[in-house]
Amino acid sequence: MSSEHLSKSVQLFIGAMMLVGALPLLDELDWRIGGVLIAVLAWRAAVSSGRVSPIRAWQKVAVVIVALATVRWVFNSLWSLDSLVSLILVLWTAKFLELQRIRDAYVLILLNYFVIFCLLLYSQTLVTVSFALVSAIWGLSLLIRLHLKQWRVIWQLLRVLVPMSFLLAALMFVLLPAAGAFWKIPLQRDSAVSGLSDRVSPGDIADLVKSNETAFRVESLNGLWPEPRDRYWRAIVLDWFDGRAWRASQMQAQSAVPSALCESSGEAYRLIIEPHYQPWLFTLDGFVSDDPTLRYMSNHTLRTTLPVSQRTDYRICPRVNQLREPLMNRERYLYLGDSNPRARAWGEQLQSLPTTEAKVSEVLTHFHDNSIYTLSPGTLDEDALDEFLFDDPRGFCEHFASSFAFVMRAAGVPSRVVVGYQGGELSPVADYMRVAESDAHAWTEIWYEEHGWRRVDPTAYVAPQRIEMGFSQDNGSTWLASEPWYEFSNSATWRAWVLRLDAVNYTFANWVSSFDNQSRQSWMSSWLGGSDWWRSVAVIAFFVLGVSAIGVFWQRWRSRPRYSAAVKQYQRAENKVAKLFRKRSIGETPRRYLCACEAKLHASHAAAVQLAEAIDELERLEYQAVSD
Amino acid sequence: MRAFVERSRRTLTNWIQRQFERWASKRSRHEHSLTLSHKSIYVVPTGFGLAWIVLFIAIWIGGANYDNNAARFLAWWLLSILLIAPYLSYRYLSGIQVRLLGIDEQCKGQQTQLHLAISAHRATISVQVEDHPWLHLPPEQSQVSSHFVVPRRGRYPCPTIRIESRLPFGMFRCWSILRYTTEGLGYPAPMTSTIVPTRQSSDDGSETSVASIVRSVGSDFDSLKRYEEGDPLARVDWKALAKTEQLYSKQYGTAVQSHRHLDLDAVSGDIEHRLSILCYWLLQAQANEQAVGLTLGNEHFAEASGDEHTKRLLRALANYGGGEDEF
Repeated sequence: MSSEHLSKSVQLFIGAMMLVGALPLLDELDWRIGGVLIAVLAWRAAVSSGRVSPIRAWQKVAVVIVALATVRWVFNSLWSLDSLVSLILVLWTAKFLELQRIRDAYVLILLNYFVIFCLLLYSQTLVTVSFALVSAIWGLSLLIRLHLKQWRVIWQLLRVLVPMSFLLAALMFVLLPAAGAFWKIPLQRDSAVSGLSDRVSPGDIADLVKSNETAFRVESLNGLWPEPRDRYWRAIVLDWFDGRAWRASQMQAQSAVPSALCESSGEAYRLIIEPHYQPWLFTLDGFVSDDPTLRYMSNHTLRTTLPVSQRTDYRICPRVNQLREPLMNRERYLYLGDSNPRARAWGEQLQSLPTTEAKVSEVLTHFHDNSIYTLSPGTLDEDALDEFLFDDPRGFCEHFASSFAFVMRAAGVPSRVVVGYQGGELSPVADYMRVAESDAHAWTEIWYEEHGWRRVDPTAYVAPQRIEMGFSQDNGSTWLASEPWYEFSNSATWRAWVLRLDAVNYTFANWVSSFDNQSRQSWMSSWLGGSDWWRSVAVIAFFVLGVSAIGVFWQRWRSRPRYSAAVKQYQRAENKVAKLFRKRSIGETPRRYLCACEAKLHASHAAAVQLAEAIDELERLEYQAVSD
Repeated sequence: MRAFVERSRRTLTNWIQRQFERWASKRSRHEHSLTLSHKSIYVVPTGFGLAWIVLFIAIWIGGANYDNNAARFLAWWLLSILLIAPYLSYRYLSGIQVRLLGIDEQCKGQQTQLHLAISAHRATISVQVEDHPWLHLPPEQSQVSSHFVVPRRGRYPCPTIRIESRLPFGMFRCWSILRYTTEGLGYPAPMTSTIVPTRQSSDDGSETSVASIVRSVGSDFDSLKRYEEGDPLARVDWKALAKTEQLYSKQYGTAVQSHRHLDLDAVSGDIEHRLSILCYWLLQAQANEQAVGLTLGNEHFAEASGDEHTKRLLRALANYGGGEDEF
């Protein structure tokens, strides 16, 4: 069978399966990978249609080399999730080039399931899972199509098989304990997914606000929500200015403050983070997490030990003792380098002002009077901060934060830039707050000798509505009106749909990912009266055996022999005689059997008479021609 | 050393296979008809089935490692397909009736045919007789014949028949091995010889006695004789009919006797050799439409002609001495 050539329609269906499988992944990967994929599929289609000459061996080798080179060219690291998945995808399509026999089809279908697995690693939203579902069932029907030719028969089989297999899979999923991780290889994305990075130079965040992806979601544990003006989700503290960009210095000490010091009463939130493949997490000012696996840094940020490669959730709550701590490494927070001479000179002038508050308000007033908040700032060259402050005052949040912190340092005030998200929108459907990528923001923190680190957001003085309303709800501002994408994405219907879809996706993904061994145990205890392993095995075995037994009996019952009344009567008579005399041997006709029986018993014996009558009746009904 | 390991490995697998087939065929011995059921159907994973298991394990480990519930579910689903597949593939063979219609009688060492009638199969199944290539039988076809070589003279056991289906996924090979108690019959392998093994007939003086030298089995025209009823039409001389308006039959001039009595004792050598020579001459006689008789030790067959008679004689040759000795 395996030497049989596949028909064109089967090849077409396999190609379509691959397209469906690869499509949602292409959204995550580079467009060049998609280009290679579609080119190869199209080539194979052209060969199949007979328009192009068959593919030769060296051409196949060339395709593989080109595909591998593309992966190498597109991605920086060969060991990131993106490049590995791209590798699988391009090899998968390369295999499609030599699709000839049933064995090739097997390989492609097996790989299809592996591609589905990769897709599920990226995301588990309702849309992705639906795609995966369609792809999986498609692969299965193709597998049957390889052996059975009629779609009607395949449909009949699938109609029973698909619900059965999902039921069985659900049973196993619910009843069998989920194994934990065997080893930890962090999944690394090649391209930054989240807008945040630990190096911010003017212009970085502006690109991000166009993304309407969800960064994370917040659930309130006691119904309270932070005020819009307080929704500053801190992620990274940038304390090192390298002349052009603000960076996070390498020496980020873990805090000596035990993270378990969580205030039991008061607000508490649960944050559900979408994978961003970076180690940082988000907190509010003065909040800590009681999760012992997280690291609480001395600059009051939260981190994980490994990059966040899947949806992660943790609790945050206000810290118990908001004690003022002394400023360590004052020089580090005052370090400027030797760039931007004009800004530095201005800062040094400010040193004459008596208080920190006065210095702050002086700079903020400058921003308020001169600067324009815009998404499309001018390009800045050398000494970008100088240029922004004095020549071209059009800027976005990172311009304001960077230059403000710089001038403060020049004025002798320790300062740092904080990157995170600012804002959050309550879902109209479900009880959670959604923080989008477009809420990415940068602000500053400066050191007051009497209070410690305090947040100062210079953007708030330039575009207060940005802070009050959140970035995307900022309808009144004119500075976005010229952006066509914004107009579209800001229409009320569109926004309502986005939020609704997000709520569905979120509820689904939450439902999928929240099922763990703990919920398994409680579920089993309430339904099966205990969570021992043998109960699981028993239920699954009962299901498998029960269903197959029903199937066997159903088939047997359907193909049971159907006898006429005369035959049944004969069988009854024969059984009676068999008890007295002997069984009818194979090949012995009823008549001959009757003769033997009459010879042995007696012709007038009741059983023999009954048998004779039954034979007469049988012969009359079965063999006599219908005369009238 | 390596060759030794390889050889012993092969011997071992062969031995296991033989033992299993012996056991399996014992479980399914039938006279001429049998219905496949759970007693005689075996389900084993194919290479693709094993690859599917590997895929399941890989995705299961991946799902666990990345704590991904959706991937875990995918792994369980793949496993559940694997668990359901044997039952589904079993259903494609179960209930199929296989009837042995017969085995053609043929000389030892020659190709003969085995005829099977298969009913109640819902999809294409494959049939194999001994080690010959698989035959594929679509559901609309119910009879299949397969060639195989007659292994010996005399009665020989019906060759092993395998029935296989990889439906519906190709993950499992569902197969059955059938052994019928009906036996095949092999005639002796004909052996060309110049000596005609006839016996000098003592009681019948009319027979030409020294006809042991073979003349060419002829087609030389010899003479015409008056047509008699029963003469083959092919021998009618149509030209003579046109000239004389009389029917004449051509007489061919081979000096082949019209009848001949073959005797086992007229040949020397070992018994198989002698039977082979007799078989050759029997077949020659059949080809020449010659009456032939046979003496096999105590068995005597009077001279006669016709296919039925020849068959009777060939069967006698085949069964002589209870068939060829076990090899």
